[in-house]
Amino acid sequence: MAADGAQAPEADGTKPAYEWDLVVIGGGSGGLACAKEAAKLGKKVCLLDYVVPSPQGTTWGLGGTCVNVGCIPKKLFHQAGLLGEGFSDARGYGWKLPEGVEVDWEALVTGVQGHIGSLNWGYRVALREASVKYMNAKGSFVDAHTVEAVERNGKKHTLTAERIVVAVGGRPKYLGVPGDRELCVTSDDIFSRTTKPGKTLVVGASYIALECAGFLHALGFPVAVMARSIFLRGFDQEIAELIGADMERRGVRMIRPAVPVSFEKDGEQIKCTFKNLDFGLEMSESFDTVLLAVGRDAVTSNLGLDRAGVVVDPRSGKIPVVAEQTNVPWIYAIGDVLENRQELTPVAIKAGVRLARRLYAGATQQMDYDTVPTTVFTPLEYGCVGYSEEAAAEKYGADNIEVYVSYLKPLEWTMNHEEHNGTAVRPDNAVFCKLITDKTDDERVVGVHYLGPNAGEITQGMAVALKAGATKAHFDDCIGIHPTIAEEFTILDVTKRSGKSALKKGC
Amino acid sequence: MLRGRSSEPPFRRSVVTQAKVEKINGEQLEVEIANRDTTLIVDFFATWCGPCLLLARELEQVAEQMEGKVKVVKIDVDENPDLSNMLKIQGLPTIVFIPKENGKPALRTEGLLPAAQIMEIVGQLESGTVQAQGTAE
Repeated sequence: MAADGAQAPEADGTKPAYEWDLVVIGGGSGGLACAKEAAKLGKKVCLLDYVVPSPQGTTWGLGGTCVNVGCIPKKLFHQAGLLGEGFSDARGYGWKLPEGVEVDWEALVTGVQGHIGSLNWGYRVALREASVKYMNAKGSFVDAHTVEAVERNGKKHTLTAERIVVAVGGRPKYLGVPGDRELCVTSDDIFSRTTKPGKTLVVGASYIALECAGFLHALGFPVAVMARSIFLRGFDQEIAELIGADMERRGVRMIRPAVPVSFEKDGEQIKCTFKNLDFGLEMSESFDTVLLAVGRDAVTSNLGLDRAGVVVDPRSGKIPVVAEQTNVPWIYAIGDVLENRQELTPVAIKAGVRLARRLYAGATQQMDYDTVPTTVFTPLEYGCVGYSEEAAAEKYGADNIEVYVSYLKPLEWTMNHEEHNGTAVRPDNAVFCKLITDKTDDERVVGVHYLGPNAGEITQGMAVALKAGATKAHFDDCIGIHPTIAEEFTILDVTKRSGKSALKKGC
Repeated sequence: MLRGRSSEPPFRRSVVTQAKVEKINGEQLEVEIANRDTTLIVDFFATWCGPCLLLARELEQVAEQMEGKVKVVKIDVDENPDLSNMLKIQGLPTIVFIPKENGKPALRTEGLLPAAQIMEIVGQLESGTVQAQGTAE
């Protein structure tokens, strides 16, 4: 009998026959990885994937949030924005490019959706090749070993399973103010609408809000961001403020601290009435598009988890787990649906694969949720791994950490002397590097933060260093690659404690 | 419930009051082709294909706005593998435009198309300004 009691024998010694070894509810990053791995290990696996249309009617194919309405389209739209910014740089290098080059929004959307279609296809093929039974149906628990799957046309299937993995992910929250569901869009919708966004209000201070505001602005649309208080809660706040300032310098309007009170139609536009939290004043302004990015909820409300006896946090809808196991031993959960875990695709994938191996290949390796690198793809990108300065000070004590900082300007930007609205398009000291060490442990590097271009690529390598336990001496001992921005991490010298300026002066 | 839709507002309510695009199978397709008295648009899709789902909305709009002038049907390729193989359906979605006149070759496109573009293709097919290269029949 398996350790999770999956196959409890009947009184006469025979084992109950379940139709499936494993049913996975959710065909996103985590669900797909787990299902494929389990099937590769010889198990009979059924995967259910179903997208409830957004309030605006948007739906999508197989692959989950990342592929359809998350990481993938986000990065492509971000890249489109970067390319637009590059025209200014290109003129500095002598390219005869006119000012005012515009983007064909519809072409961008259809192009991105075309690529997403190929990813939907790739996953469908992968499931077929792995002999995973795929059903486009909404799953919910009938009891702890039984899942009902309902197709879009209402046709029902009953699946019995020895083990079940919940990988249903999350969906955008709404504010609960009048007009929000009827009139506003979210990240669920923005990547597939062929109509141009126009003058846009982005509500929220999350990375999703700032990334969307960033690329919409870069693509040429007038954008305002409305935030209740701080940006990027949970991230290093020094850098969060630098990101906000950079976006404002680029021309994104910041309306904060403020919260929307109601939305209503104003001809072809949407009028947002909002409250300024400093003065308590209510004001209103109309926009062509309002995008809400105020958080995400786990999609567990219609899952029937109570019928399976699975404990759920009632506020967030998220599932608490230990080693991805819920309180019901043969029911597991991975991905965004988990409580207190990073909502990242690679986390879900690795957790799903390792879980399948532990269940079916006798493996013992657990998922490691520590030292997970991530990158925020705002116009000025932010990559980080390890502790923020605040978290490091709390964990180790402010006196026990050393914080190295540096500002610089990438060589590639030095050719661009253009100005927009009186400020340099490529300002000096725009890029920021921060390294945090634990003085009590040989100056072990506990946090790396990088604000600048190619943040994801740079941070990935840093993350390996941190996982390997690198110290400041390792960084100092490593020769830089020249000329790059990343080499700055091998010559960091100025500490915050010293009080010296980390700004670069000079020609 | 929405009554009608204005043309292309900046935000779009996508709830359709009554589905105008019927899902059919291979046998029914033969009947539809034989009995057509307007241009017939056939949408080959799969449930797992994102752009297919987006196209479905665009086609509902086309079916509504060109009611009487065009008939739109859709076929799930997973449920109709033989037909899909025979027609060499590769990329999804594949849209096949079958003109009203027998003998006029059908046009096929792959990928998502906005409603306006689909309607323009129908117009050009009917007026003869666009000639399909091969036939899908």
